[in-house]
Amino acid sequence: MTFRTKDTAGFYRTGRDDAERQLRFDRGTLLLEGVADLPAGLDSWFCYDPRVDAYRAPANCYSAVIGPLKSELARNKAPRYQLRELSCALEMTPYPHQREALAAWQAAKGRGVVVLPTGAGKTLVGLLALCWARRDGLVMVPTLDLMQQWYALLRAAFPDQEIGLIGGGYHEPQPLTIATYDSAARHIERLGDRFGLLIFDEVHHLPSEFYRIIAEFSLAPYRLGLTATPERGDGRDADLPALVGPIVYRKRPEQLAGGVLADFQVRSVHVDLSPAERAAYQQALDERNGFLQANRLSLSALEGWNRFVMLSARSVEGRRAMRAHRDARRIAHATPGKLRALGMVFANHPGVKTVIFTEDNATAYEVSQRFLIPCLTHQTAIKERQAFLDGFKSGLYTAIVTSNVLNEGVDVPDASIGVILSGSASAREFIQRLGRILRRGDGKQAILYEVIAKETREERVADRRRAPPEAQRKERIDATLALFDPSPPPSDPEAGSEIHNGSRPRS
Amino acid sequence: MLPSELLFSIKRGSQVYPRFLKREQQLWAGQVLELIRQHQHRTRGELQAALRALEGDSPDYRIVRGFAHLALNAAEFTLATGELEPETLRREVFARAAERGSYGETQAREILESVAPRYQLEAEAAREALYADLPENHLLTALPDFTPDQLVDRYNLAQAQGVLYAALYLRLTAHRNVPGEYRRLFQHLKFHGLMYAVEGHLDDGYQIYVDGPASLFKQTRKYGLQMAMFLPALLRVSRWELEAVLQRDDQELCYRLDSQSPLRSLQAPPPAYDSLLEEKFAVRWDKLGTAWTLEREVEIVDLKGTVFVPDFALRHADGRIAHVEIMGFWHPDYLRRKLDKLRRAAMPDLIVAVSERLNVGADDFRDVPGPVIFFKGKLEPRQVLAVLEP
Repeated sequence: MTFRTKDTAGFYRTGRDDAERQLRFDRGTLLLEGVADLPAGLDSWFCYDPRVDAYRAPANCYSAVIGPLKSELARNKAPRYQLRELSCALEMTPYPHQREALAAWQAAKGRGVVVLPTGAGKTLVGLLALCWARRDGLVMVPTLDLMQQWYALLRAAFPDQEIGLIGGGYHEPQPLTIATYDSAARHIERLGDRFGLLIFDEVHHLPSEFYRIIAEFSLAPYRLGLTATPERGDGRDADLPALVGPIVYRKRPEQLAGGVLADFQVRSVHVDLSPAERAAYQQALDERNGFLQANRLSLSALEGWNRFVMLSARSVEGRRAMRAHRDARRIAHATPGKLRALGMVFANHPGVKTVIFTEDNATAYEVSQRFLIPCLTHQTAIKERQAFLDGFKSGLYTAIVTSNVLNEGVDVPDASIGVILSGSASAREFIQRLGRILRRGDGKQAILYEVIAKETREERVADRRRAPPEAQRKERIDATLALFDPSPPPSDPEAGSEIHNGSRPRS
Repeated sequence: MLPSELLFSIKRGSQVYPRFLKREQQLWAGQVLELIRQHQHRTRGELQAALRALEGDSPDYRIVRGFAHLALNAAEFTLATGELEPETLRREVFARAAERGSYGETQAREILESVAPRYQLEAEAAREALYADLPENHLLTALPDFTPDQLVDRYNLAQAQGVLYAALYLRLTAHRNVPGEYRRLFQHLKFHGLMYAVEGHLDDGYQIYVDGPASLFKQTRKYGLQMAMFLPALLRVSRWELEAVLQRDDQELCYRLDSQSPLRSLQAPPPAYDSLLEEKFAVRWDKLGTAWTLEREVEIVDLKGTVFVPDFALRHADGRIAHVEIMGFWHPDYLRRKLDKLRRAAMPDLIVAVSERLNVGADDFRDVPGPVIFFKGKLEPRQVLAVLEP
């Protein structure tokens, strides 16, 4: 036998010589094996990977490379999805805007984002896209409620297909699957080759650092994004064209109002804190403000808030000030006065279907325990959630209370009264909450009550929401305001706020 | 592991150090464990309120929360409703309330008063029971079974793991470790979905460069979490140095760690030998009295996607080196992969010793360049020596 000594370099031979030319999916990437030199024109996608002695490309570029590559391959093992003839069992006539949206997406080779206002039937556009693409499909949703809604829809549309769920305690991938963004991001390394069409509901979630890999690690040639508000505060919506495709179709609420969306009005209900609550609130604010002044901080900018959070971790006074800040918030949000106002709304509209929105779970549970109303939070189990929503649809329950979970795109059919018990300053949240009760009804007028405690920080938040500083936000708000008033949106933001001074309920 | 808001690290120049605990801060570990012990059979909500009170206004509050997080990961909570299912109760009272036709606080009280007696409850207690199944209402039933010192170890390990969340890649240097340690190291890398390239050789140690499949296109922190999960496996290897390159605030930073670190792995050390067959062979070789010394520091062959690590090296006083791989009893599937590895590794100085109980013959080793010997029962050192010194 031959021996190696200390000086023998390159003694061991490594590498493989067994491979035929093939393309396969490897944990979110494409691996081209058995190729000595990269075929021409592919070097903008593929890099040589010395770790495995093969060429590697991001899975994302599959549809771009497979054309030039196809004739070079002995085998293409990358896609594991099937061609699937999907015949829809639902008889639905799409609205013109839904037909146009689909046509625009098809014209863009099945890659693009469709922007439609909440309530305009984005889900149906997704269903039409599934039927057209005829490939295994994966639908991404931000919440379990939306998962439930897609599940019910796909089951009704394709009764012969198993519908898979990933997230919310399930992990059952099927040719047609619905996944939460969270779970999809966690499992996409193993799922990225199994679907030919990706549908991103509420696609503005996708460009975040954690979720974007769903698009990057998938080889799906067809991609559809759906949203009412593609813009993001951090500007990352600029990445959507690369991840999903360009905006191929866009309609604003005022372009659809009347035809699809029901009219509605907003009524503000101002409630007072009790003297004891007011004293506690004032004391908490004073304590916080004392700390802010001593440290020359201002909460009007994000920077000031971040400094406050950092300083609050460093000293006893800082921690107290942060606690005081939280106390003040809680008093403003959970005041019994709001529950009294809610009782008033119930008394004014007995037997009318009502949805109550709260910002936090604690308030939602308190309303539920106080009035014995079904409560939906992110903690509610899927089955119970479905039972409550079914009961609400069938009229068994006429009211339902929820924390943020209904924010995005969940159908609450026939609800004609909405009550916001607490809110935050996000314009997107505002529009989407409004949208919940905008569902097409039988010519009824919906009413949205916004219950606000007087002279609290929260009230100022609500004011800010109506006159947002940035032009972009203003545009969105104007579009929403246009729904209350058939005249064109006001150019002066001050004029817009008048519309909100609606009548107060009798007290 | 800990969520990022409970992590501490210090930056000095381009170096990052996890902030391990000062002696007086370690005292919190005992206090947290004691508080948890006092809350056995009480609700999670009460425990959390007590933990908040313990941290009080102390700037150490994130340390307290870190200890609580790690300790409660090892605790058990259960639902405490007895005969009464909160979900059933909810269904009943919500339906009753809806039947009344209008909602109100008075109506709600009347319903609770009529329903509660059937469950031997007061009306207000029934109101509370409606959400007894929420996590904050669960009861603490099983306590974490570790000492304050063990909790401190876990905490420091979690801080080091936390630094790796932002890692772009790892550069590992390993030398003079036994074959089983290397094999487990590579198994863990693979298990956590990481990729590696191995350079270097037996005498100078090995450089193992670790990242993930998509790291090829652009540096990414996507694999940081997997690298953090891999760290405890590295702590069970005897001799290594780690250099982790991190990205934070658009800056490249570095975190260095080695086997001298006081970090401790949480599991017991693995056995020294992978099988009894290997152990016996090593013991008997030493009794042979030959110029060939049996060593457990061996050559690692990078097979591009996997590695081959033989069981033993044999080193002669004159500088010659050979390797031994013992094939004992294996599952057929494992055997097939092992044969494939032997062919691809193509080590001319590798003596393969094959048990006759395996269903393989000389034909199967045609493409393996080194000598192959077959043995019955146990492997006799003399058989191997006969190949070395014919």
